[in-house]
Amino acid sequence: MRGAQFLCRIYGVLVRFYPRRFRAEFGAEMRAVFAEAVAETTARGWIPLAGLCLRELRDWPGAVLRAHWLTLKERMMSEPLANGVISSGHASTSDGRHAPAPWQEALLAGLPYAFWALIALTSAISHGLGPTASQVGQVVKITLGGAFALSLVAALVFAWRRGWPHWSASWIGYVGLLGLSILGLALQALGAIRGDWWKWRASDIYLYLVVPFLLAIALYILALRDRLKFLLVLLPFLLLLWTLVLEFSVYPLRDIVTSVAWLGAALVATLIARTGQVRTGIWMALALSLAVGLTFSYTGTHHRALSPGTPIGYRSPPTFLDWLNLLIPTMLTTSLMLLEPLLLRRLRSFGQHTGTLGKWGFRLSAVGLFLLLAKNLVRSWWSVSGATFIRLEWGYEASKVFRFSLLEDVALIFYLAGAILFGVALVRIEMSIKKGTLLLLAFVLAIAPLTPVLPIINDSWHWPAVSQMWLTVAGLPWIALGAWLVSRRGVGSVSGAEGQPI
Amino acid sequence: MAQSDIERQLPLTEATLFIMLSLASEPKHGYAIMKEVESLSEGRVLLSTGTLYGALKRLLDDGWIERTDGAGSSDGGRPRKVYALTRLGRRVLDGEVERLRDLIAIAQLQAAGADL
Repeated sequence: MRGAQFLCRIYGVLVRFYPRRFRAEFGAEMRAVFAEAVAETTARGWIPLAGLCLRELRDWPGAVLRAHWLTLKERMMSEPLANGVISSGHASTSDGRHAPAPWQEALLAGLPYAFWALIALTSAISHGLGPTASQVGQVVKITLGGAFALSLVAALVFAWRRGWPHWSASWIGYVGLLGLSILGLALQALGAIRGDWWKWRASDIYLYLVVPFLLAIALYILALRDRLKFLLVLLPFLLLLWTLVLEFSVYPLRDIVTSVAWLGAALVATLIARTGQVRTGIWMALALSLAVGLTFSYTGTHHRALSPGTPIGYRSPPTFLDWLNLLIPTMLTTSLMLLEPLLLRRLRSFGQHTGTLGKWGFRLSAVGLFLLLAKNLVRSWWSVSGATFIRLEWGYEASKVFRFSLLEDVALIFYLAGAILFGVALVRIEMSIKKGTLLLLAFVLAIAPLTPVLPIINDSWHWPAVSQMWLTVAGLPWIALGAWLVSRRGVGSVSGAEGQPI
Repeated sequence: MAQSDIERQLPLTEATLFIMLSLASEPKHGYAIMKEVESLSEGRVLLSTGTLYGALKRLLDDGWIERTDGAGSSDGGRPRKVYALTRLGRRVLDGEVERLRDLIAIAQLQAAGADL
């Protein structure tokens, strides 16, 4: 009897791995059926009982994965016309406002950032006080790191038991970061054993192709499911990108600005969870990114510790333009991470509610967009890791002629075809000019940062100057316009001629 | 749903077919479906709860079965959910049986030809 109860408990734990919605619908029934099966099989002896348990265990991973896949598909199919209706953990309204989290939960959302702020602060203090303090500082940092790891596990278990409320997204971002870092380190370790190809090429492919793609897909899916969680998951990645700007800057200033930045992120995460407002959250995340960017790029240009004769292209003393050159590209990259998934979400929502034409419009444009993204990633990987690999494969002249322009052309054809279908769908549903214009603006904005500079690059090797000019002139207005559009209420709320939702 | 639409859903997987067959005679609750499938397949198809409820969810989503509150459980607890074929589900099942019948007829003809 006790054994049967124990088995049912174990089974209860296994059921917890099914999606929340699935559990709510079938969880109790599944447990009851399993209990009934155990009770009956126990009477027949332990061999049939073992058979039953093994069968359950064998089928469990597949069944859980299928249930998650079904739920995900269901959510994506029923992606509402209005924004952010799907929420887990808290109810939300159609314009992306979620029920405000209690203060305790909101503070939990900010806690992981506060940890990192503290670690950076410890580092700053130990750098400032000399070698003895540095040793103590190391011990404190390791202790804080351990405490963070334990808190991460505790937070995940707690969040799992509470049905993954919004605050948990802050911690999940760190799990993602941790996973990506572990994979990167594994590649480096493999490089030490297997040679340079693994050390450099594989790492390049991983860093410049795999990671961005994985991130893009994960963020897009998350933006579809829950925008508040999307914002919270994104924050650590934004800060991490900005950290690259601090390369070569002096200690302890570097640690101090890092500490302040993570404190700022803790505040923003707390406020996002507390207010539950996606709209405000988008602007707060962008404001944080800008504030961090201004500080980091100033530190990165005006407080460098360069060894004599090293990096070429760094002027001394630095100018305002140097500061801008460091600020704008990263600001655009971080903003792209934030705005692109939300723009795509808007287009998808519209596409789904304007019949077959709109759906195909979205699909074609999404294919075009991903092809362009892939092409740009390959290019950046190429320029970063040197063209040797590709030139060896195709020959220098061939690579010069090819230059991915074919892929680019195909991508643009897809995107334009999608835009035309969208346009026709707009006319067919007799949408108001104002809404139609806003949606077409979303369409243009989704592709804007990826295209205008490319034809010029293809015909000229002076690309840094051109892209810099484009980024500076058009980058910031793009961010402002994109943020305004994705945080605007009602653009996704498509209505038909009769004013009824489509 | 038109007949051609139903035919597009075929063939059914073995588990789905047996679950639907088990509901053909009368509505049943989860455990009874498991037992019936085992019995119909002569012990060959043994469903785990995960597989069963995954399949039931798909069938519910497709509108082939429906779920209602049944009588109380055997230990006098809260009412158990009972699953029953919908009209659409019955048409799909009939379509699958018809398809299998045709298949067997062809197979028998071919086998008979080979024997001759």
